[in-house]
Amino acid sequence: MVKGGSRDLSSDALAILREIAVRGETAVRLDTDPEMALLRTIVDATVGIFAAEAASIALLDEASGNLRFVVAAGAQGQPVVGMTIGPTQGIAGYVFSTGESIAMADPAQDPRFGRNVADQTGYVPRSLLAVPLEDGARTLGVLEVIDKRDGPFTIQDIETVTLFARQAATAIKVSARARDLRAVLADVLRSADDSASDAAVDELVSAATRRRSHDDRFWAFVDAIATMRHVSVSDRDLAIELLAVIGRHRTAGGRDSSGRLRSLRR
Amino acid sequence: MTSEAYPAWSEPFRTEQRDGLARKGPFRDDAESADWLSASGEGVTVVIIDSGVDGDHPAVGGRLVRSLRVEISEGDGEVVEDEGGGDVVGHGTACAGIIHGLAPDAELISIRVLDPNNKGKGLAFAHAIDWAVEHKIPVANMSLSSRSEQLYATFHDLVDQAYFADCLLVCSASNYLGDASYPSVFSSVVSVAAHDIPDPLTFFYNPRPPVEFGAWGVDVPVAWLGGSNIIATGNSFAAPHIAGLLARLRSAYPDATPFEAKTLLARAANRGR
Repeated sequence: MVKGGSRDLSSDALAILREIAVRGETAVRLDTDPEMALLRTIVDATVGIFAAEAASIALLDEASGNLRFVVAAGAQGQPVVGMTIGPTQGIAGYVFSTGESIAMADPAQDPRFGRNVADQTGYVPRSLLAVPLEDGARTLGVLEVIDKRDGPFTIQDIETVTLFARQAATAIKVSARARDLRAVLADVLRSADDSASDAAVDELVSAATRRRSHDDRFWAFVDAIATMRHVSVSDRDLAIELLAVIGRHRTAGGRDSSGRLRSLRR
Repeated sequence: MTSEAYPAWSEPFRTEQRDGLARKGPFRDDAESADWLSASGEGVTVVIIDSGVDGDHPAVGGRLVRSLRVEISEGDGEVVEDEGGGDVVGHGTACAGIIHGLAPDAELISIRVLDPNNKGKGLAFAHAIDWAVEHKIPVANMSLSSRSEQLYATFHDLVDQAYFADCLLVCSASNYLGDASYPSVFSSVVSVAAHDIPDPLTFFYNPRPPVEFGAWGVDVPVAWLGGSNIIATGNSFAAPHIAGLLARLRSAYPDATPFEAKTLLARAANRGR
């Protein structure tokens, strides 16, 4: 069924694909970024285990080629979030570009060390450990830990943080795959017909996703709901009540949003 | 002693595992000592493939004779003179200082493979190895590796060329337990992980692959940028200890092939358990 491209696909099937695409996009927008949540858990755990002052994860930003700190934990961690450094800059850059894990004491002795991170954050670490985040085929970023409470970092600490880094890399990989709706749709189509050509699958996926963001007001609505993640519980309860009131008001005449009589479905 | 006692992959060489490394036959511990261990590295050139080397750092002892860098453009690379030289991170100077400490008479050449825009890093490593092979360099230290599957065949071919050209490539094992990184996993390189005995002359041979040697890599005082010194830990500081020892060996036995050099190294290992 897939082979001939969208012309051979029934309009019903294409409508289903479009529905999957819309629901997938909605889920992505509504769900608080699961990848970031997991990365945050990893840096939290790292700080806890080492009683460290900070732990952070910097990821490669494909567009700019730079490393961007995306999550951090610990008393001294937060100021680095959002900061960007060059891919070979400083210890994090070295670890990222060579794949070598490093622990060091007194990194501030390095005259260039403070220029970008310590100067901006106002914090000069006494010890530092950095390991690459690698997914088996490439380096995705760097996990850094600063100032373990009980003395300098050991080679066993490098092993432990390496295990955390592997978790983080796996999370990023899985999440990137799940998030890519085009890839999910293509997987569905291929599982339905494994003899389908790549070109035919591409054409169908494009047809299904082409008008995904056509209804701007719908996406504005989804995005508004997504912002409710960040409000207080009482505000969220208020929002739920408001939505419920609007829903009751809309259906008071016995019709739902499609205009059909609800009573017919009961 | 079962093989379970040996360090696996890039695991540190822990105390309880070192006992399992005692060798039998001609490699037994009480066989006569290795005379080459007292050589100075004279007549040997060591290439440091890293972040560059600060030739003015006291730890390098003025032995840096040349600074090169790999220029990558449009998917191809070329090794060119690094005008101005220097180190962009500090790491290459750390490695150079360790090598100079063990082989004070060896000459050092730096090939910088880190570029601020980081284009084609794995390819830069490959071009640096190629240069070392082409120039018949006896010892090259690579405290770095690539995970690029695309470059697997390239690295495999290059390290075989190095082996047959009598170029000893000393590579730090990736700290990523059980994952392959190139070229450190290939049998024709000398791969190194870290131990924590604070002695540059204490090193181990591990008969279980892929990592063959263990050298000091924990809390090592190393040279860094701007004439500074720091304390650092990692397999990347273990590799230059073995590179320095191989410079001594090549100084005493210039014609030793990589096979012979590795055998002599294994023969002299494990004395500091």
